[in-house]
Amino acid sequence: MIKQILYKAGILAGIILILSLVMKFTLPFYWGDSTQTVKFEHYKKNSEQYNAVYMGGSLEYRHIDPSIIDSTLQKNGIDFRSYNIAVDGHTFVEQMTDLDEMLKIRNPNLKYVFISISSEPYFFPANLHTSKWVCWHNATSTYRALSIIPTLEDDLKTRLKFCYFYVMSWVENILKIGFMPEVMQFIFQKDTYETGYLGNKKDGFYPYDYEEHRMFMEYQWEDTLIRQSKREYESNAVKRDSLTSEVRKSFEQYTDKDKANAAMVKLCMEAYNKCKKMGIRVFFVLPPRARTNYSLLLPVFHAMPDDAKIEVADPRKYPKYYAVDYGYNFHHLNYRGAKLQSHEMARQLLPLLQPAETSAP
Amino acid sequence: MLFNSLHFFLFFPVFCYLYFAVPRRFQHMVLAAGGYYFYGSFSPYFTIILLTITCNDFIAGKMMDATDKISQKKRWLFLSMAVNLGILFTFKYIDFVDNNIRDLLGLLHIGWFVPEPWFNTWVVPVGVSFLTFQSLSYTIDVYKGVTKAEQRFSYFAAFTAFWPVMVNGPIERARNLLPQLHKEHSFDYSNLQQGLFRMGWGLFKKVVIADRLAFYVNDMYAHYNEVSGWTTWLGAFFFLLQVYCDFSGYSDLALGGAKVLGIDVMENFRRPFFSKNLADFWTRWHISLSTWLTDYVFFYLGAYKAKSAKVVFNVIFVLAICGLWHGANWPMVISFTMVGCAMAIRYLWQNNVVRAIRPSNTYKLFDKYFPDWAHSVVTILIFLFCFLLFRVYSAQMALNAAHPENPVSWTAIATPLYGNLFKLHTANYLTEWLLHKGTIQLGILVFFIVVLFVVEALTGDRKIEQVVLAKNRNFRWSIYIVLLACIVWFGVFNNTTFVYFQY
Repeated sequence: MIKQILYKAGILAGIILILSLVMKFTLPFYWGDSTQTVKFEHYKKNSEQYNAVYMGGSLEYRHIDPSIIDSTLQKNGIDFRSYNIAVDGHTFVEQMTDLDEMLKIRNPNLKYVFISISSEPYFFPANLHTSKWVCWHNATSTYRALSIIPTLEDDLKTRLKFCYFYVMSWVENILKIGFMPEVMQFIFQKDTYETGYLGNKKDGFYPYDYEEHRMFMEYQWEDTLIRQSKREYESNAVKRDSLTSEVRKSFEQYTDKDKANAAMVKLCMEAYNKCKKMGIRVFFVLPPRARTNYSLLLPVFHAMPDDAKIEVADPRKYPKYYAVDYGYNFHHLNYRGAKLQSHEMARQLLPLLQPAETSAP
Repeated sequence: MLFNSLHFFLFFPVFCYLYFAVPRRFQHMVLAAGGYYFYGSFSPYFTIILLTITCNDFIAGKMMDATDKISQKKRWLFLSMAVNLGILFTFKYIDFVDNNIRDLLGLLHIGWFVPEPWFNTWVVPVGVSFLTFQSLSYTIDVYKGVTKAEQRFSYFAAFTAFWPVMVNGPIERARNLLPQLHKEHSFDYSNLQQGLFRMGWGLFKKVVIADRLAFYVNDMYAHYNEVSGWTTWLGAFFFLLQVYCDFSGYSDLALGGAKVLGIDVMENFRRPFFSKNLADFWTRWHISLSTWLTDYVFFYLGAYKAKSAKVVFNVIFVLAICGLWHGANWPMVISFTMVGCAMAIRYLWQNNVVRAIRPSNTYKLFDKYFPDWAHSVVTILIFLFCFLLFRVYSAQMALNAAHPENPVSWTAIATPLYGNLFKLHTANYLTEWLLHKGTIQLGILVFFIVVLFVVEALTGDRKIEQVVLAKNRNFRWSIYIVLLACIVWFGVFNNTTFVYFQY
């Protein structure tokens, strides 16, 4: 009897799996998130306008102003036209999937890609089962996550839990659990998505203080949360100072001998080499105010090639990035801060790009 | 552990395997152990409450059985009621009472001697209202001699910890459940088929319809100041439908789960949207609670045998109790009291007017040309009017959590909702509201609502699983695949939307 039940359950599950796979291979790829869809669709349509792309999460989306970097570099005779494709909430592993998908978009002009070293593969578990979280998972991303998480220094329970979350999210992706309405919306109505996500200059940069005055987020309460986070940041000086002192401590304690997480370095270098083969130069950015501990990020960052590093995180060198006047909330800069960081990135890029530009035929 | 969680998806087959693998005489112990595991998965502390209720009512039942003296029986019944209602009051109502006393004394400028409401942080144990009412029905039945007292603790523990109905009903009666627990249950393939299909149908109603409706209902209440006329009516309809699909879906999961174990649990919903009047509605909606209140409160008060004025009071009082059972807040109580008032008006109308005019030709003509569906529509409209208030308290909580700097009272939400309800020439915010998730999402929702009503109309008062399983194999398998595919692809499995942890 048990065999019969298992047999019938297997047939039913098999049929659903086959139908899901048919859908996977027939329906267009969908990000499960209107912000990312709008940003990628814009890039797809206008890719040849740009020769540089910033990948990452909100620390890039809300901090890097392409127009500032472009104009600074262009003034110095460098052909630099950049686009910010970063999206809120994207972790280290997700960023690599973003990169894979971005590189699939044909752009013969693409010369520079910026990868953020600002997070580990952990994520907020409340996001499990949301289409935004589930949609991007595939065999490669799951393998990447599972290769990094066991090497992190957290307790076994946490590591096992997140390994399980990644595998489960992949399974949900395979079966397309709860996807269909949004996929249908993407197929039939993607042109109706809110393009405000692209920012005022349509270059993908949109600081929180702009967003605060224009409520269009997919979920209205996110706007509320944004404001709430600002209020909390402005009123809680103790937390502000303790976060900054933690970052400072990580920088002060860092030495060249600190061992980098091999799995994260490997993943970065794979991305680096993949881009290099395509004639694209990669820069790794260490942004300020990351939630992830800098004692994990710093060794990984310093393991990258010297001519591919842009560091804008050290509170000793850049105290303003941690000052209340330049912050929007605990982990983000406001527009003033974003302008500062963008200028600094341009300043650091200039010497890195100039020799290459001048030696070019 | 919710029925629509992965935890349950793993728990259920393991539990069924153990239940049928152990010697039959131990099955009830597996049921009790499973119940404690199920309830403890919400919080291990909750099992202490469950054990307290079980021990208390088991002892009370045994002691009542052991004596013939009414006074002693009464004493034990009183103890049982005091403990059950005491638990319910302590966890669910004490904060409500404290707040009301505080507000009332505040109006009179009198200080309240309880300095800090320290109990307002207590977590209400999941399903405590169901647990206590189910267990109470046992002791009342034993007192009345309707049920014999259970002599073995393990069976009684299996009754109170019967996990399919534990946290969300139906509120099962001892006289139906206990005899079934005493029987030995062999694995039955037909039960499995029926049970699983019923569970699938319940899951479909919950995750495909109810949870999708939640997006629209939440948004309507969040814009309580903007909506008017038809928008509010449609929002109220969506809310009633959401509650129905959510609650009846959960009941279907409970009934299906119990059926797999070979146990028949009472039906809790019977196509309420096809009710012909308000009294009929209560025979179709949350049947286990309405029969509980009828048996243990309404009949105790004298039911319809009393004078008209007393009956009117009884009806309104029972419905007010029903509201209080649903939630410790005024909007809920008032909402149900309004239903009670409507039922009382109907009672008076039937008793005084209809009885007088029934023989007339005018009434016969009216009866002839006022079809059943029109009766159903009027009934539902009255319910919508009352149920609009049902959701106001949770809307207030949500709004105040989102905007702590600008708290609103429930009356501030209810006033514009009701104030603009009858502006029937308007439908403010209708398009924005219906399309806020896109036309595709709305189309999918409407499609599945139509599917629900068509299925309910076609199945009539028969059980859906029996209707489907009576069909040929190809039809059955097509239904299985379509149902499963709809749940998997169109279900909402996370009511919360993406949270950006960087904040």
